[in-house]
Amino acid sequence: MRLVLVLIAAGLAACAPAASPPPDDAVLVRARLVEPGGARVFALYCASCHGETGNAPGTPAVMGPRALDDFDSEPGLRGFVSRRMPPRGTLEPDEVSAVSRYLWRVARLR
Amino acid sequence: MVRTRMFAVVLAGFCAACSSNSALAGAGGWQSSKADLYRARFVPDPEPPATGQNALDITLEASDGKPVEGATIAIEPWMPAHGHGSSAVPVVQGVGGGSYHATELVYTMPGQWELRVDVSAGAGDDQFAVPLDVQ
Amino acid sequence: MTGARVRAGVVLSVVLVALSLARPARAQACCTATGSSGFGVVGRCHFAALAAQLAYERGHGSFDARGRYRTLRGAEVDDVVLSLGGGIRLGTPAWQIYGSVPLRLQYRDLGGLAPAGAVGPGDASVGLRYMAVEDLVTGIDVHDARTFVPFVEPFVGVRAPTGRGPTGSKTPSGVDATGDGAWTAFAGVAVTKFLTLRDALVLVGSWGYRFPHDVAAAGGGARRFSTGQEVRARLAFVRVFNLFWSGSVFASVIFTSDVAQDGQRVPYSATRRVRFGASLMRYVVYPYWKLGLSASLDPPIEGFGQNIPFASASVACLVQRNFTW
Repeated sequence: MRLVLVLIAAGLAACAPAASPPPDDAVLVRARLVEPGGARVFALYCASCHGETGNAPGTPAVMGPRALDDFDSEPGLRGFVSRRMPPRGTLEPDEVSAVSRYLWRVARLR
Repeated sequence: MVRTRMFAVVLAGFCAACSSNSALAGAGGWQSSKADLYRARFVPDPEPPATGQNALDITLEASDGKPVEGATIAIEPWMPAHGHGSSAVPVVQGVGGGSYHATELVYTMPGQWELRVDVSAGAGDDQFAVPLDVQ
Repeated sequence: MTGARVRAGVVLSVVLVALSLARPARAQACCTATGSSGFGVVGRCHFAALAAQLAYERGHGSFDARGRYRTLRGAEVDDVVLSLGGGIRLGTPAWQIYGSVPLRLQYRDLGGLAPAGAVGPGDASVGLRYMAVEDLVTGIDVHDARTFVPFVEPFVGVRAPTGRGPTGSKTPSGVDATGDGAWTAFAGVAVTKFLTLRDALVLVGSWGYRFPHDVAAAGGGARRFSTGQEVRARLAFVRVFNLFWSGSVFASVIFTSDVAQDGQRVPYSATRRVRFGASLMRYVVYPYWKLGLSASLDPPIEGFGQNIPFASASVACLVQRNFTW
């Protein structure tokens, strides 16, 4: 019985789903200082799903290595956010621009 | 020699007053009612009083020192800092010679309590306020 | 053979837990920190939250009017408290309303009385909170003044006497007294400052006005009882280990001033309660479900309490469901 409990505990500890690597601390800090408005929009409306460092499990990585490689430019990213994010609810146009600039800066600062 | 003896008596009296049980101000000592109609001594049981069920022995005298028999005594335990008493109603019975025994005194928690003792007897109605430190 | 397998299992679980703690992924730092300033408070990145906490409290002693500590003698005091709470943002990220209501199961075994238990609601509370200032969540950089700005959230609220007050008790031991018996209006502020990307200090202070109320006197009539005004302060250090784990330690103090009865101040009736505690939180279904464990204690140290009948130790577990935008 004791062995079963120990193995269950080990299994729970191991079951935390994997997350993709986050951006460097320095990159995150720099982006938040340069684009505070976008950082705020991300924290309020995006972080709950994507994680504060944009790499939460179960959602596409939006920060960190190779994040946003599917987008050629910031306007492309902005168009996607404007059409699709967040899944429930909408962002104002200036919020879309701000968060897109913030994410693009994180991606470019790496 | 006389002065030394007097000093010793005063000192002994002072020490007796100082060493009064901290659980009950005036325990074993007499205290006067609010209108000075009566004097009484209150001895808690157990001493010091404890959380839960307690009893109290009361010795009641008139202002002239004569024991008061047949008085009607009502007691209300009260916790001043918390603004509540106890739902149990104390029962007071006379045991003769100016002595009374109170039971069903319930202190629901430790801390500073006050017994509000209403006395009704030949000299009239009066009240005592008896502080207690319940452990 | 069985002992060897158990040892292997223990080593394996320790290694796996250590690995999970060491993962580079970082957690919802600002959500965790801003949501830790009160039960049912919605963290910054969430839209709403529902929480349930089950706590066990056991009395270990009392503090008298002069702050002297005594262990409980001839008395056993045990409480199990189920608290339900939650909050929701009011159309904008800046405003939220939140509240909680406890359900108390209380047990008293006092000298000379039969042991007794009772169940009843405690005092419910509701609050309104506004995020007035926001931290950039970059950690402090001495070369950039902007990085010193914390989250500042003023709040107001009321606590209602939904529990049975002490004067309404119908039991000899007072076991059915589950509340204060008085309305309290409170106002305060929560300040959260990120020292680094992972570490935050949370300071919450409030002042409460406890409304006077009438208390029945044994011989008939009523007394006007004014419970002392209340000041609360709580300082916590929150560490976000990774995406899933966070922990905190805290110290809190609650003061009330002298009470008044029928307009007369009652000397030596002020109260003081100091408490220390720690908690550990984990997301079990990210980002929705979170579990937590906590423990706290009124330390049995002279002067750390005043007029506290039952100083206690407590353990609690929490489950919280977060709702996203």
